[in-house]
Amino acid sequence: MDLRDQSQPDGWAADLMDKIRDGDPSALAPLYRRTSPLLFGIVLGILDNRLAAEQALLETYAEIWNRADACDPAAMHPLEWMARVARARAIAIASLSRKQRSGRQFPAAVREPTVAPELQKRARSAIASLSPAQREILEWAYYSGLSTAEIAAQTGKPLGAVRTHVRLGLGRLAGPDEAGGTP
Amino acid sequence: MAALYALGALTQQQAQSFRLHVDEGCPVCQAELLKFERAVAGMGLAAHEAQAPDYILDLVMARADADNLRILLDVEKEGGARLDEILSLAGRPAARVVRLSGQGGALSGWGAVVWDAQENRLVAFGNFPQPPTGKVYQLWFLAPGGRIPAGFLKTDPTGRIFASMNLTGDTSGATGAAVTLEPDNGSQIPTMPFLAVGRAE
Repeated sequence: MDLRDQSQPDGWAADLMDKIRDGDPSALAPLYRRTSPLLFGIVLGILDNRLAAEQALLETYAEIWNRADACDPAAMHPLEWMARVARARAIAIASLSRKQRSGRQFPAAVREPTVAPELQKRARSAIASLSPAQREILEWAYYSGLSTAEIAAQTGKPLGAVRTHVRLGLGRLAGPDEAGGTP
Repeated sequence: MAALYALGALTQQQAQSFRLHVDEGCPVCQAELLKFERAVAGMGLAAHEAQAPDYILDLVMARADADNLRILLDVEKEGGARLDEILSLAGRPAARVVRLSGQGGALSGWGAVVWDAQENRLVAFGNFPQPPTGKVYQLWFLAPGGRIPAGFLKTDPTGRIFASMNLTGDTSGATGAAVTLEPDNGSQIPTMPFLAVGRAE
């Protein structure tokens, strides 16, 4: 999924991040209103606890504000970068408080996306194209932040199988390698 | 290994070992890591959405304002009188304020200008990158009749700007302000582009 060149019609994300990078606080409110449904969904999916998720969301936007220079549209779509920040904040809180998900029920994306519909639908379609085993293990890895050994213990699957599902599944999401290499 | 690292699915020891390998400059692993980091980040876009509470935005805005206020507090720590001067001018009935927003690019900065056309005074403060040798930042008021030069903005070693000046020219009809990069002795007409610009409140 290379979304870097999907600058239209979601160029608003890059425009707002430019203003954030310039230290313009007037860009914060529109950025929050447009992106918070997605970022809150991510942190809720990881923490499964509303209070902890709200803390993670606050820390996410604080980091977006303070480290906007780290958002490089040439390397990653701004929304992907924000999603990455949100996941990192939530996993950090989960690790400290041991509030990782222990169950199998990760939230399913059933509502129509509103933040960046075209990008989100492409991402959902890519996930749906994975084999059930790859999707299961990748969701475990993404929403729990656990190591492959811990995921193997939680799911009862062999460690080797877990690692293979991660490599092949993420390799499929990453798209073909220019050199034709394998993950 | 790059895929597992990008997901955060390695043990701490494995992750440190891989990070060291990448930092040593392995181009293949660096490229692989970037590819998988994008893929992991892209997974986030497939997440379900959830309505976020408004109070979080209030806290984020307060934190951002605190960051900007910290610039002012640094000004206060330095000179003591500078913050008083800003607040004193801003409190006058005829005072006007322009918040300057950067326009992107390597020399983009931000700041604010407070001025009172009746008192004939202005204070400008903010933060800009160091200008190239032989160049200086120049402030302009934007008015229906044209651009009024307002003086130079000099950066300190940390990039902070604080300028307190008498006004030149009639700024009573000014609708905004802007900053450009000019030769050391300034210009009578701004050299485009604007590095920061704002509309008067």
